[in-house]
Amino acid sequence: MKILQNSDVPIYKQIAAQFKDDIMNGVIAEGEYLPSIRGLAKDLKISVITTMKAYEQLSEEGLISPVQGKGYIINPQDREMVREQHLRLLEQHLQNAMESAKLAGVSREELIKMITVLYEI
Amino acid sequence: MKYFNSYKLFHGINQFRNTVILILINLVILAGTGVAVRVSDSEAFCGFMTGSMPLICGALVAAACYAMICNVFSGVMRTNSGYRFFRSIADGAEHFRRGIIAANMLSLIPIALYAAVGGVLFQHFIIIIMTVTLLFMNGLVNLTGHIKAPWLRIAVFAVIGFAYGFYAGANDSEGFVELPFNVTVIVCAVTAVFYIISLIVVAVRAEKLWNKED
Amino acid sequence: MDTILTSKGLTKKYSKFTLGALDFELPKGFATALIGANGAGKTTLIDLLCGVIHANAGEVTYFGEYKDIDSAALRERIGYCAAQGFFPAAWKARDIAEAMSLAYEKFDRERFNALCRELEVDDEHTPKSQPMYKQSDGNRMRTALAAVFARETDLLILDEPGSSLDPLMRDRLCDRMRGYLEDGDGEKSILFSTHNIADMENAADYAIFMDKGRIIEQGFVEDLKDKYVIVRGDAADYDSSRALMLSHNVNKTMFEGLALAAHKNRFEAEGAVCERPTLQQLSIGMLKYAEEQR
Repeated sequence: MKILQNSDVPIYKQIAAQFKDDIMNGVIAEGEYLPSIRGLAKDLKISVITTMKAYEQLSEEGLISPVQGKGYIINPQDREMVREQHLRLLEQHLQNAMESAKLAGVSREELIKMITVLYEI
Repeated sequence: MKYFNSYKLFHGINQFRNTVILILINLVILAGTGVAVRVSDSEAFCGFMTGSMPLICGALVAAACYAMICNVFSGVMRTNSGYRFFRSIADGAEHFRRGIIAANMLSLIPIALYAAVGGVLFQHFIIIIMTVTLLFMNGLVNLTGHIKAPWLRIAVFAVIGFAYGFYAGANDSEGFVELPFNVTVIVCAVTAVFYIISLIVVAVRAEKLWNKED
Repeated sequence: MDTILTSKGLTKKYSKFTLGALDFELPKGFATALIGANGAGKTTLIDLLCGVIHANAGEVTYFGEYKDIDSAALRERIGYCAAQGFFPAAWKARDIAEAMSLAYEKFDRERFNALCRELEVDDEHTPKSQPMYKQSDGNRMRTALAAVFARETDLLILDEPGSSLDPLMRDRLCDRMRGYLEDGDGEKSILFSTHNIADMENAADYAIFMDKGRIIEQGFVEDLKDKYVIVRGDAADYDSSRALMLSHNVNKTMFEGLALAAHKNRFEAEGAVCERPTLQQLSIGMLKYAEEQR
C-alpha cells in the first residue's frame, strides 16, 4: 500500500482506490478479510477515522461488507460487472487515444496499425 | 500497613529511606556525644557538649518530623509538583487521612528515641524541653500544614521555640530563680494535650481539607 | 456514534475566566484532539474530566454509566497524565513506580521499567537515577507517559503530551497511541490536548476546537476536512471573496483563509483556488476566526 500524504487526493480515497484495484484484479480474494481499521491505521501511520472512511466507501460501492466482530470481508465480485467496468475504462482510454491521434494528425489506418503493433508486444 | 502504604504514597519510598537514614545518623551522633560526655572528666567539654548537642540533634529530629508530615500535606498544595497526580488517584481523601495519621505515628518514633537516648546519656533538663518542643511543632504542622505560606508556620516555630528555650535556660542558669517542678509538668502536659488535639483535628478535617479547592 | 464520554453543560467559574457551559461527546474507539491556544481552557477541561478539580455545574457521563468522577472504579479505568509537574519534583523513577503500584490496582511495574528503557529515561533499577527536578521537561514527560501507559486503562486523557517532546518522540508517541487503540479494538479511546497539532495530525480522528472557554467547532477530522476549504487567490481578487471567508490573511501579493466548502464554486468562479485543509490549517483558521469574532 503506497499513500502520498501530501497529494491532492484525500488519503482515504487513495486507500480505497488501491484496495479496489487489488480486489478487482483478484489480488485479494473473495471471502478474505481486510486488515482491521486500527491495525491498518497503525501500519500506515494515519488516523483510524481515515481507514474507516476508506472502508466505508468500499462498502458503499459493494466491494466489501462489515461482519460483526471480525472486520470487513471481500464480497464476491460480479464477473460481468467487473468486465463491464474494465470495458468502460477501455472505451475511455480509446477515446483519449483517438483525440491525441487527431491532434497529431494520425489517420485511422495508422492508428489501427499502431494498436496492432502494441498488441503484439 | 494500609496506613503506612498511604503514607508511602505521599512521601515516596526513596525520600522516606533518606529520612530514616538521616534520623539514624542523627541518633548515632547523639549517642556518641552522650557516651563521650558520660566518660569524660573535663567539665568544659561536658558543659559545651551538653549545651549544644541535644539542641543540634533535636533540631535535626524536628526537620525530619516536619518533612514526614509536610510531605503528606503536599498532596493538598496546588503549588507543588505532584498535585495533579495525587488529585487524580482514587480515594485521595482517604489516603490523605491515613497518611497524616501514619506520618504522625511514625514521627513519634524518632522523638521517643531522642528522648530515650538523650535522656539516659545526657540526663539534662534540656532533653525534656526539646522533646516537648518537638511535640509542639508536630502539633502545629498538623494544624497549619495546609496553609500555603510556610513563613507563618516558621515564624510561630521560632517564637515558640524561643519560649521553650527560654524556659529551659531559665531552669538551668544560676541567675534565675529555679522554677518549681510542677510548672515543668504542666508545660509537658499542656503540650501533650495540644498535640493530641491537633492530631484529632487534622484526622477529622482531612476529608474537608482534601476536597477544598480554590 | 458510540460515545465513551458525554458532557452536558459542564461549567467551571473562576474569578477571571469561565469555562463552559460545554456540551460535547468523545467517540469510542478513537483519538480525540483537543485543540486551542494557551489559555483556551484545555487544561481546565481535562482537570475537570479527571477529577483534579470539580465543576460548578453540568454533568459528565463516562462509559455510558459512571456519572461521578470520584468513583474509585472509574478512576481506575482512566489513564491521566498532566502537562507538567505530574509527579513530585524530588521523586525518582523508583518513587514513581512504588506510588503508582500503591495508587492503582492494574499497574504493571515491569512494563513501566521496560517503557522507561524504551523511551530512554531512568527506570527504577538505573544506578544513580535522577530525581524529576534534575531532568529535562522531555524526560519528565517520557517518564510520566511510561507510568500511564504501564497501566491497564480504557480511556487515556493526556494533557499536552507532545509539547515537551522532540519530533521523533512525538512520532513514537503517536505510534503508541495508535497501538493502544488497536489493542482496545474499538473499546479503548484517547483524549489528548495540544496547542500545536502539526506533528500529531495523523493520530487525531476527532477534533474539538476551544477558544476562551468555549467549544467553537467539533467533529470527525475527515468530515471537517470535507466541510471546510482553504481559499487562496491574488490580492487583487480579495474583495470579491472576503465576505464568504471565515479567517483572513491578506498582503499585497496574495490572500488566503478558511471558508466553508459549500462556497467552493463561488470562489473558483472569482478566480481563487480551493484546497482541502490539513488539520493544522483547519486549526489556524478556526482559532483565527474565533479571535476575530471576540
